[in-house]
Amino acid sequence: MMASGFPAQNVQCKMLNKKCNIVGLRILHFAFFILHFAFASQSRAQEPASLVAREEAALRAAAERVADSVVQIRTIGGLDTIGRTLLADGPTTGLVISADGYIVSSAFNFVQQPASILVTFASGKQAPAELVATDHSRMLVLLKAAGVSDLAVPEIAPANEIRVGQWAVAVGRTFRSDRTNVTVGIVSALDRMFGKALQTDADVSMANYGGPLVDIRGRVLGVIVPMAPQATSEVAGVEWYDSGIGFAVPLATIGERLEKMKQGDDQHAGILGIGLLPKNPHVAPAELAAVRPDSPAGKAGLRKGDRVVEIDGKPIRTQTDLRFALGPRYGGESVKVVFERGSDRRQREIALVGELPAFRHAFLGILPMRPVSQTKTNRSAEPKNGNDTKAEEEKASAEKNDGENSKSPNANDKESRSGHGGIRVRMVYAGSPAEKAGVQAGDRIVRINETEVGSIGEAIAELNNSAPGSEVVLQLERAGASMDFKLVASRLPTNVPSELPAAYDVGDAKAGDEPTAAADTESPATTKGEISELKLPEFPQQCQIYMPATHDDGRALGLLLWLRAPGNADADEVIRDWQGICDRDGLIIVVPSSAEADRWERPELEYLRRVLDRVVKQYKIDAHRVVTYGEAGGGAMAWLLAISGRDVIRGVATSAAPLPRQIKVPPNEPMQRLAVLATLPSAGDVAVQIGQGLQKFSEAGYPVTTLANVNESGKLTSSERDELARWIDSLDQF
Amino acid sequence: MQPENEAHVANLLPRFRVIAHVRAVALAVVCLMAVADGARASDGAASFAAVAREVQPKVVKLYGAGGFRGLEAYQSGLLISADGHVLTVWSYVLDADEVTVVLDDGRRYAARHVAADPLTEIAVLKFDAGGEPLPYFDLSQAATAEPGCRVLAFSNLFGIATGNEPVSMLQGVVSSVAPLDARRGAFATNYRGDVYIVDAAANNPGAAGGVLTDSQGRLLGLLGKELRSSLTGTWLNYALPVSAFASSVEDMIAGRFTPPELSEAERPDKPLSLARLGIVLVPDVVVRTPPYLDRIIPDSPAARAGLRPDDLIVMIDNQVTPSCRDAVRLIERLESDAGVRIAVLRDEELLEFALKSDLPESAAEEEK
Repeated sequence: MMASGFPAQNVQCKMLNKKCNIVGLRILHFAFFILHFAFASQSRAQEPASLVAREEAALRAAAERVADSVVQIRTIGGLDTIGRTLLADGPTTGLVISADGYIVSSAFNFVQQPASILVTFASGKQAPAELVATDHSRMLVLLKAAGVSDLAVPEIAPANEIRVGQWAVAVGRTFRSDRTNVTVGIVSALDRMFGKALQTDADVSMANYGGPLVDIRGRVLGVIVPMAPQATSEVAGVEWYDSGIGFAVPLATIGERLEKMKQGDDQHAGILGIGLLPKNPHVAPAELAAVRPDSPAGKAGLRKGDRVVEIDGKPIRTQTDLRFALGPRYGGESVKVVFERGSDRRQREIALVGELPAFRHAFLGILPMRPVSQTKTNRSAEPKNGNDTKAEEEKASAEKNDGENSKSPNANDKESRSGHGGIRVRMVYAGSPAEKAGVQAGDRIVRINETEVGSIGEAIAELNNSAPGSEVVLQLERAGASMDFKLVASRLPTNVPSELPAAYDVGDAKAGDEPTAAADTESPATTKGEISELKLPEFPQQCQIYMPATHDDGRALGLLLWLRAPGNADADEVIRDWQGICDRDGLIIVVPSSAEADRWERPELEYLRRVLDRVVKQYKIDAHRVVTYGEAGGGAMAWLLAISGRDVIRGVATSAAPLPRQIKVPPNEPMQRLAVLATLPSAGDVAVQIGQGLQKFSEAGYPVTTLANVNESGKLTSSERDELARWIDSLDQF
Repeated sequence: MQPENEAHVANLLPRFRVIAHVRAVALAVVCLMAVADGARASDGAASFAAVAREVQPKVVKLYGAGGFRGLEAYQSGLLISADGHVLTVWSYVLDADEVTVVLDDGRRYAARHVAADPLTEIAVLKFDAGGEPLPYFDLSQAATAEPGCRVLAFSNLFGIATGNEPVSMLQGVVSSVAPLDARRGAFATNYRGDVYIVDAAANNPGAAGGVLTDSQGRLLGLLGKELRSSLTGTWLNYALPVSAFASSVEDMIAGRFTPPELSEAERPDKPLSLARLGIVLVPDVVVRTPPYLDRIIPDSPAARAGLRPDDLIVMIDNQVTPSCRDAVRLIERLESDAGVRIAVLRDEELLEFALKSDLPESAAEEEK
């Protein structure tokens, strides 16, 4: 094939060079310029044989060879922004893969959900096209153009011939419909994105997403898509355009999937339904920290503590090995999993699924007492322990694990365990499984199913292995005696208890006593909390913080990040309203100011996240009670912050703030419990919008609580404030 | 390096300047011949090195106004005459009493403003090099390039080169030769002609006024200011082809340049409207409302042509209409008595209709 392409190119180049030589010679005759032009003619004289010219001819021939299969795509209608990404409405690129009009493109080109798609072929012919199916794993879409035939289909480079370092030419049809645009680079790496894509340093951007990356012979190495290792949205990786890091999905590996996509079946990454421990994934063995009971792994009998050692005959030594083995797989495919349980070695053939049913956390109806640690913590700015670097690393590795639901609340491991073992019951919810089984306040839970539990985090994690509706065995101690109860788990409640007993296990010395009321053990009048300011040096904004009176007695504090409606109530007023509650419940309230007085802007999310991290790091924070609340404009920020910060945030509450329409609610993660509360006006458009947002959360499996709000501005009445406080105070329920 | 050192010596010893210069260049020729020999053995790097030595002395560093709030006080320029004419991009940097030109060998000169073209946003400066002939690009000898051609970009991007450091050289290919459709902030550029779009990171701060050459060092174009493409939303790497400004520059040097009046985009005297065609679109509610036909006025040009409610307008005179706004804008660019071709999607089918407004003015007004 190349043999026919080359001679023509050479002739053209020779002619070009001949022309310039003549030009050079003529100029030589002008004596007064002779010296300078001698430079030029000298350097030109060597060109006909130069490698540069021959490379150039070969690269152009490569792009030319695929050009007839590269189409321009225009869309009509749709969104103009996705999150912070402003979508251009210019043309994008696609690649013909069948003579009768099937076209592959990048999912990014269709995030705006256009009303209509128009394709322009190399011949100039235009045709409407339909989006047939999306591959959510590789971020590709399959289009079908109507009324076309005999299209040029490109040759695909065999996967085993692709080498790092070989030429790679990226081809788009964006700037003009009659000519392709090309960028040149090399193959930088293979098997990136957990084996789904190859990497190139050729410039890739909106100018060629959806187009082919071809080798020097014009054969397709892959289809260019934006991708990022830590994120799965269609716009992920777009910020790396033209950076020297680009990805292309090899078509050879998805041939079989394309047939399914032609039937209209969307493709998803295959899910096993397991969670891994947040440890260094390159070293830690693939030991399961959690198994979703309703997942393929759960149904196949895999359990927490099992170690995966082999997938499809490939040895699995680390969490990373497991990620790479499963990364390229699709829902619907089967994998042969070998795992070890103790010294036992077992094997299962497991069919992966594309989507798991929404996860719902199991609930027994128990509100636990909170432990008081023996050592007092210093309230100063010193880090609360010497392991911060380690904690950061753990967090980083936990984030890398997000494909399988493996994140865990990062503070759980460090949570204080009660000195006496087990968890004391603070309250039993009326009508709950625990009440029906006869569990009482003051009981001490020591074991759930077969797992000994010493902390609230351990109890919640253990319950992730049980689905609502399944049987859970509780072993508890009451007045020195050990008793077993069988419960049928239900779902997390959506109503707020009307009254809560004291939260702290102060009466520990006289175990067995009835818990006393909060007012008796805490006396805000005798100790006083304090207000301080927090300013992060890199940001112009600042925060007011109220630290409750109880903050230095060794108890972990809840954290409420309060996002005001811009231009409304000042921070001092918020703190005045909350002071008493903070003192009573052991709650820090942090009230940041927006950079602009009249609005919150999305880029400020980063600031809010940093504030959150800073407070969590600086003080002893109760990992189960980290909450963000937002009013009106602040509410939109609260939603966004909670969705992006599920590794730390356990509750999001808003008032008069619908979930921004384009925001996708992520699936509920077992290890990242998030409770949702919103005030709901009695009627009107806003009420409808808020309701739609809450519906999304509810369908995704989150517990959603609503409060009927009488105040249109969203400002909470004192009784609503109390209800919100009780909601926060009961977030560690299980 | 040898020739540069020699030239530096020549500056210190004015009396021997001419002789020294000749010697320097003679040495350079010898060096280049050696390099050229190496390149003949198909050594790409050596041939780029030769090109660099040839091009870099013709590219200058410019210093002027700016230097605060992210506005760099420097850019690039190229020599276009032996007696000190510098071509560069018109920008705030030139908005200073005196612009300093620093040559490849470190010589510094104060340059004065000769002329500027607001359409292509180029400017010509002049400094006095004391009668000594300078290396320069002859605009009449410029080359052209096709997509896929190897190119080199020379500029002082990010102000990395100072004093006698030569400007930076980047390599890439021509990605596309296409009309410039770009904006700076909210403003569209005046120049809408073809530009070279390249895959090198050529247009960074300070690069404006640098040169794009082919792999043999022949001038292709002038690197422009940083712009975002309106089509892709990405930052563009591009150069204005020499043909876009060569004659203006010639006039500027000759002192006979009259800046063109920049008028608003040509507006028709009596713009056409959808109402005049008998078309009512669906209410325009979001930024990209798809232009579906809501109603067709009976007995209007649209009705007679066969357009129907629920047709989706996809093109007007072959221009794609991503939204209602685009459809209205495209129609209003036409004279009211002009014919227009409207392509619509109806049941998966692309249909095209030719329409011509024949409604009397008053009737159309009523429709409005």
